[in-house]
Amino acid sequence: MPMDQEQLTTMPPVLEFDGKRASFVKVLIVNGILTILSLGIYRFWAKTKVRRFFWSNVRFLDDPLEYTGTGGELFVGFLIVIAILFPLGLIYSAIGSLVPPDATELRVGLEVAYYLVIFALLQIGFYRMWRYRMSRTTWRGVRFGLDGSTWTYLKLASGWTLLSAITLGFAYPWMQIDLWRYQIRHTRIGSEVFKFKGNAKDLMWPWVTVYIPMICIAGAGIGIMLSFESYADNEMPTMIAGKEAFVEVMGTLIGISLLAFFIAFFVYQVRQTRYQISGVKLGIASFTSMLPIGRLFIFAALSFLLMGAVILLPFMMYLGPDFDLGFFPYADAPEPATFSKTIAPILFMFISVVFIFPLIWSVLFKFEVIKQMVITTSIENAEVLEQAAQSASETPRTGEGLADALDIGGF
Amino acid sequence: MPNTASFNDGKTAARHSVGIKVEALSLVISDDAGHVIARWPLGDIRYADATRRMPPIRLRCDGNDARLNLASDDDGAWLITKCPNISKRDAGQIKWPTWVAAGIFAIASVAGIFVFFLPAIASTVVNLIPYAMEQKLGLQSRDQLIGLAGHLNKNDKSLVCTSPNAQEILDKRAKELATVMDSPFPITVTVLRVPITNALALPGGQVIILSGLLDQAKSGDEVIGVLAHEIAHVVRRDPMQVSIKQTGAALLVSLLIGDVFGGAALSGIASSVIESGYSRDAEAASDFLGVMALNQLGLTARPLADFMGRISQNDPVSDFIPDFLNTHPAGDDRRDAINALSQENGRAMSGYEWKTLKSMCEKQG
Repeated sequence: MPMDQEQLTTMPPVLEFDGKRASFVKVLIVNGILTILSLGIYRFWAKTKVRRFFWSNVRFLDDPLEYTGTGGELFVGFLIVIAILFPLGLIYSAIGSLVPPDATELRVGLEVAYYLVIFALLQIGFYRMWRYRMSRTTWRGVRFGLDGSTWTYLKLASGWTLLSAITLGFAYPWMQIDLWRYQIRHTRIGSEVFKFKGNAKDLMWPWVTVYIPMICIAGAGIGIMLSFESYADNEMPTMIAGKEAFVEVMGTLIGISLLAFFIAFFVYQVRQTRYQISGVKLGIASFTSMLPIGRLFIFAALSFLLMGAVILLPFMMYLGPDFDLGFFPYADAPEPATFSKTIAPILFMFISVVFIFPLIWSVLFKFEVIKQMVITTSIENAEVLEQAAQSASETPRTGEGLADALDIGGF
Repeated sequence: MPNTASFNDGKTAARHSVGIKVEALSLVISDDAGHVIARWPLGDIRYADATRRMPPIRLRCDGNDARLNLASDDDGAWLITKCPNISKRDAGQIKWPTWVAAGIFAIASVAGIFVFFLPAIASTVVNLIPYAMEQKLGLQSRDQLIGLAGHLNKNDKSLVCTSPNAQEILDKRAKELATVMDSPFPITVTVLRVPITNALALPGGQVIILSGLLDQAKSGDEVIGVLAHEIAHVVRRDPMQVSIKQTGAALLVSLLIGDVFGGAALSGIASSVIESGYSRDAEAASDFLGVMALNQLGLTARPLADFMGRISQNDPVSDFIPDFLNTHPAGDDRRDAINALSQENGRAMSGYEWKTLKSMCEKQG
């Protein structure tokens, strides 16, 4: 049925975002205070409140999404994971203390095994987290869901990570797109399964802009390392004579490349997200994202500037140039260390890192990312989603567990 | 039809335009043709999203996937006043007293892990660790400690006090004490130039004496008394147990904080505060073992008692030492207990030897 122009202009936008920063700040401040007072236990309920805020402020075809998860579910899921991870960790520590300190190969092997296990847990945790979130998301009473196998996802992620390592990172976009494809192809609303059409080739050139500075950093780093000699224990390596100019050039190269890398990676990340959203289909409905690079970059830069100001200004104004961290005031301090010079700065840094930094980052940057992701996404033939029928699939009973224990997932 | 609204039946995401009215304690939802689609008991009606109370209002019925959306200009006030449980949780969901109880239980079990489980684990695991390995670990942690203290004392490079004569006096007594106590480890005494009144035992027979202790001590008997106490810790393998406890605690704290990467440093600090030093039992046992050894060697332990009493009285420096570094929170009880156990009157060293020892850390030139 072709739509005439008049009908098109009176149609409401497909996706809208109603969230206000002011109400988000209120949610975060109350969460922060309760989390600190409860020694961290409240964070499950805090996360739930943040998700409710975002979900309920996204309207699709005029009706908001609903988040039906509870803090209690997250807490129980977390306790279950702790009950499994803690004994495992103890066993690892016990093995670690039984290996003699001078058995270098055994120690390296143990370390490698540790990171492999953490890697696997991160992948499993991520997939299970997505499954939980989908199962607790509803639109017009119809639940989202995630099928697929966590193990298959883990195998896929391991294979791609290995390939990325072998290609010195060149295969990264292919890994990202392939994992996303698996994730989206097993995501459904009711019983309607999403699809993804895309090819990482389209992300190759954006990735090359990240890859070149990355290779420069590695190359220059190796160059500098080769300009030094003597790597004996407890001895500072000394520069080989005549290499000073070379090392200086390489150092500058690293500095420039690092800056280029961070900017290029940010731009790449936005482009990749745009590409990932734009390939999503559901029946004849297809998504398009116009996620703005410049705007998000400005918000990220503003957040960092503000964090820098928060940490630097009080030190410069209040403590003056003779500021002394004073963790161990007895070391060379004949006069007794005062509260303002010892405890206060540590407390201030602690509060900044635990409370103020995440607040700035969430309110300025994360909020903007979510808002922009919603309002710059358009869906052609969105009405198809109205036909989604409730699915009778089982939903997980407890929360994300692993994702909470490993602190992944953003919010 | 008094009002218009839209309805999602919970089976598909389609939006049905419906009419609603209240009839005999139920909300009756009917389609445009007037057929009744659903009948919701007023007592079962809830906000679909408790945080969103401005129009458009969305409602659900207890345990049901269906949703009712009031039109965006309808604040729902006429209906909401008739629904007594609009803000309550669903029946069958866990109620808040259960959560409070579960929370208290969770905190209690975490506390239980720290207070009972970790020490129990540590005292078992310590027996599995070969002596040779503990010795190597001790050597490492001594070097680390010297390195750490060296960083704090930048002006002073000669941190380890090296005076062959004084070292000989300490080593001789240390060897005697170790033999009497059947120490599985040879004892190495290291004196560091750090102005804190303290001494500590590390795993594997490493004993550290800080020069502040030599400054505060009034006789060589006091120093040897402290040495006996520290060697007792070594023999009991207390330092090894503490480091096992700290490993476990660090692990637990990092799991609880929910960060395996960035929080490692934080959890390290937190856990060393939580699992600080030795238990009172371990201190009392080491006092006992130390005094018994002094008795066997015919040495008096009363100066040790005096010293304990003296340093426990408001030391301006120790106020700033975190508790976990201060392994000797001595009290009057300990002084009295040591006095009661002490049976001999022998002196640990001559006046000349004490002078040598006391000036061990004075800078030469």
